[in-house]
Amino acid sequence: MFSFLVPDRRCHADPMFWITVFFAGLVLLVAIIFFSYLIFESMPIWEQGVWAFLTSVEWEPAEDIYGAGAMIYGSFIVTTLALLFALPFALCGAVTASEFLSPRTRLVFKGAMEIMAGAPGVVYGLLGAALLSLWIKDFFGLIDGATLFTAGILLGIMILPTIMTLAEDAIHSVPGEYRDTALSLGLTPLQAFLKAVAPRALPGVIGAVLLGLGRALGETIAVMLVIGGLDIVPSGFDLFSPGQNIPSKLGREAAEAIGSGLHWNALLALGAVLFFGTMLLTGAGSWLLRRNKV
Amino acid sequence: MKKSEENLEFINVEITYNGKPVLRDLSYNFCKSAVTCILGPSGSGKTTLLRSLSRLNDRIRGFKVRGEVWVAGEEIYFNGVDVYHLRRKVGMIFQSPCIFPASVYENVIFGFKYHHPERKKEYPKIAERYLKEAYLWDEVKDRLHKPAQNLSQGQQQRLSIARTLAVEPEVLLMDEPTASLDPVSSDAIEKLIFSLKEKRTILLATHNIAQARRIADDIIFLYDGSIWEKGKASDFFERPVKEETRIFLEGGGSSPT
Repeated sequence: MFSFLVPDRRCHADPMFWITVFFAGLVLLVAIIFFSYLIFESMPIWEQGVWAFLTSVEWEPAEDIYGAGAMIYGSFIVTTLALLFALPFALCGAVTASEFLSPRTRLVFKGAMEIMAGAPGVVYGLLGAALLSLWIKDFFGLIDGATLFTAGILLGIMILPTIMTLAEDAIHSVPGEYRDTALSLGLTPLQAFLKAVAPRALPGVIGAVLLGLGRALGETIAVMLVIGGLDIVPSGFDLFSPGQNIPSKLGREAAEAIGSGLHWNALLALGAVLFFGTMLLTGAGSWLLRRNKV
Repeated sequence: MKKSEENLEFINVEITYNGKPVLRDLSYNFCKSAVTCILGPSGSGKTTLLRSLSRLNDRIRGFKVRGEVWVAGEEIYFNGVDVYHLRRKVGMIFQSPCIFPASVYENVIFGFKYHHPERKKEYPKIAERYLKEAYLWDEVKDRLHKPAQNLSQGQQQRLSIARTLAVEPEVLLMDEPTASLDPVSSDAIEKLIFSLKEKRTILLATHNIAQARRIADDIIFLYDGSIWEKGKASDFFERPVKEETRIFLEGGGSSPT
């Protein structure tokens, strides 16, 4: 019955073996329960129509009408903005660190990036609310600085170090022979990077970007503090309007909705959508990163 | 001091890495259109010697070259030398073939394309010419546009030689080019080296004594960072002067072959 375990029988006699297997199994079990709960509890919403829930922009707990359109739109816009903002900085930084910094400076730079990547979201959120949203308000002459645009930029700043340091790893792990070969053919270091190293590093760099996006998609508190919190799809792609994304919606309403019937089911349905999205992004990201290492 | 266009020479060169000498008292004038084998056990400085001739160690910190290194009438560690121009004249082949993730065709013309973006029409001809010169054409002519990674190791090494030849170097530096190959492929590369030396000066680092016997015209025996013995290949193998050389030759170098 335990055919999925190591076939070595001597191993099975050791109690330590069974303890490890037990805890590993427990983790697996929790993951399964977690996912099933999300699906089961949101079932009442899915039964009303998957497409209707995903596209409708009406969210009225008082009348038990739930549509995720505004939140999905908000998540999409905010993540896209974050990506557009972070990508140029992250990629240029990664290339510079890997190809043009001395080993010691590179480590200092990477260390700084990793500290930034590990900083808690709420700290970014506080800075965003205190500084960024004010700057954006003044710069664009808005009434309020809490907008989709603000959230996008803040998220961009947040995921920048993650993408930069992972992309740098991918670039740096391309064997030195590729650089040497290109250099020995008379290319400049920059051209050697572009023509010989970059094509090899590309899958890993894309993986880094996807992992960063996964983080952006799930970030809650920082976004809640600067997005404005209105469940609308602004007309004409207005980025300077307040909005809502899935995590900020969940963060705002979870406490009041726990155990309250359809409202709770709707929030869990939102959670399932988000979970599915981040799972796809991080899954694809780690797959590409792993493939790059081989 | 001006040297002739074909000169390839070390004069009192010392190469240090973080202050520690890797090579010292290096003085040697390489023979034109000949194969000079740089023999020596691992760690004797063979690779460093080769790389110093195309300034490939420039980016490594703590790496210093003192003395004069002359390539094609130019002192290459002199300020203001165009490194990129130098590297076109001095091609390098590495121990394991480094093939770019692209087609065979793209790999051959990689360097040529970079240096001559305007001569686009000649690319197919160039590819054919240098693949032929590397004795690879017949094996790959039907799959020029297939990924080069599918070639065997030996074919990949000949492909990287073709790619380097396409940049038209006068000097070829080869750093144990057959070390990662099977005997049949090694044999093909040795034949290729033989045909290449007519027009080019070839420096071949190896610890394979049998290989050096087969293809060397001249020998430099590097030991512990300096030239221990040098001379015509025949003299070197028949009448080694120093005790260390004799031990190295009798022990078969550090190579099992």
